[in-house]
Amino acid sequence: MSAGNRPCAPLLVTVNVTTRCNLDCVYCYMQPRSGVDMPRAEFERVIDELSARGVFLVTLSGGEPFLHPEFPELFRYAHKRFAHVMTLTNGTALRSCHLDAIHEVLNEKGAVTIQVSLDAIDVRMNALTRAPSRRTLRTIRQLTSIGCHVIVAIVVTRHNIAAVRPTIEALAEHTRWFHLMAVQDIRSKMGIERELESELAMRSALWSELRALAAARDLAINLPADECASGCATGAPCMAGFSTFVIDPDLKVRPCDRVTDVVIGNLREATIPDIWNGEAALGVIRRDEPICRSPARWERLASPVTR
Amino acid sequence: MKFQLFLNEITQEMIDVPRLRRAIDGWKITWTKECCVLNFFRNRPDDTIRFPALKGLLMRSEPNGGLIWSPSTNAVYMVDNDAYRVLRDLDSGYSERDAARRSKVTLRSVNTLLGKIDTAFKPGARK
Repeated sequence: MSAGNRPCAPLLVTVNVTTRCNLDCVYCYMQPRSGVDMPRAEFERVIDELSARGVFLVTLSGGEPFLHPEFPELFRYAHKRFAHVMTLTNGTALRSCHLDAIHEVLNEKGAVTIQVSLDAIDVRMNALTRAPSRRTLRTIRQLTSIGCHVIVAIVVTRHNIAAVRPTIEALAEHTRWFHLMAVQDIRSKMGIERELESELAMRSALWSELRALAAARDLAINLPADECASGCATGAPCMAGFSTFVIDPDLKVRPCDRVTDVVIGNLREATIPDIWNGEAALGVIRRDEPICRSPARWERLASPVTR
Repeated sequence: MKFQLFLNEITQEMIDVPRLRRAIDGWKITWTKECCVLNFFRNRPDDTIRFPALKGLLMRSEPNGGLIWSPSTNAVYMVDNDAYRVLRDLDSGYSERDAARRSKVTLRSVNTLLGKIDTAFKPGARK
């Protein structure tokens, strides 16, 4: 395959409904914080447009999406227009109105998937990178008790590497889905990955342990290392702008969720096809390396699309 | 009729395998190993939303055919125009025989296509 096989519209879109967040996780790439909520009318327009373009999967994220003042309505609307919607949360801002909306969608569709971030079940250890774990644990229990598919997302750092296995074992009574990530470099926090990174040998040993645990306890543990051997040849250096993009609360469109300063257009000024087929997006996929590696060169290639 | 793998995972952060093999300085390989790849649907129980003929698969048109995503395996496959038309017809309620006739393809090729889809999108199938 080549970049010429790029789909005619994204397959997967992350909609960041707010940039507000009540936590300050050490490795968070959503920097700087601006406290903007996506207006409900614009959210609905975006969702309608994504649905019309045949996007397969929408992820609602932020910031912390549950801090959006109208999140129950946004959640219901997205689920009404899409068969599959994923919500990403830190699990500390869930209120009864959110549970009502989730319950309602569950009754209608039979399945709701929510990813909750938690680095360690231990209160103090989780606070080293995120916040004390009590509220998040309560949220995981609440969501699974009403029948949600909960995926626990764990960022493996030198702080929590020893606690990853015990955390998964303890949470296995509530859910069987775990998604593990290594620390990644963040351009706005240069050097953070080196500061937090655990030793490679320890990580490799952990991955082996967790593969065995997954087999023994019938858990679905997604490890970063598993994906190395997979992959198809797209001609593009990474997925950014090839099959996915990200929409921010101010309707700026970015090719990658982790790269917050590269914008390829704005849905207030241009349509999805304009942006998708614009020079800025094409500049991203023509690169020889992932966009997070050398943005300066990309910035010389193209400018965001405006009408 | 063409039916081939497009993406192993809709949520994967794609790496171009041939380019990866050509990497000489090592950092690209390191980046691949450390990249964050989500697969929210792997091993998901069979209680997700199902659509009648396409058995839970989502499909959309592309200039040269269509793309199909299976939420249960998370893989995306591409089909050519004939296969896309046949699958759309089947989803609309046409029989295999009628779908084959409408697209001017053989019934056998329709059955072969459906067999490939069954195998590819069975949860746990190798991609």
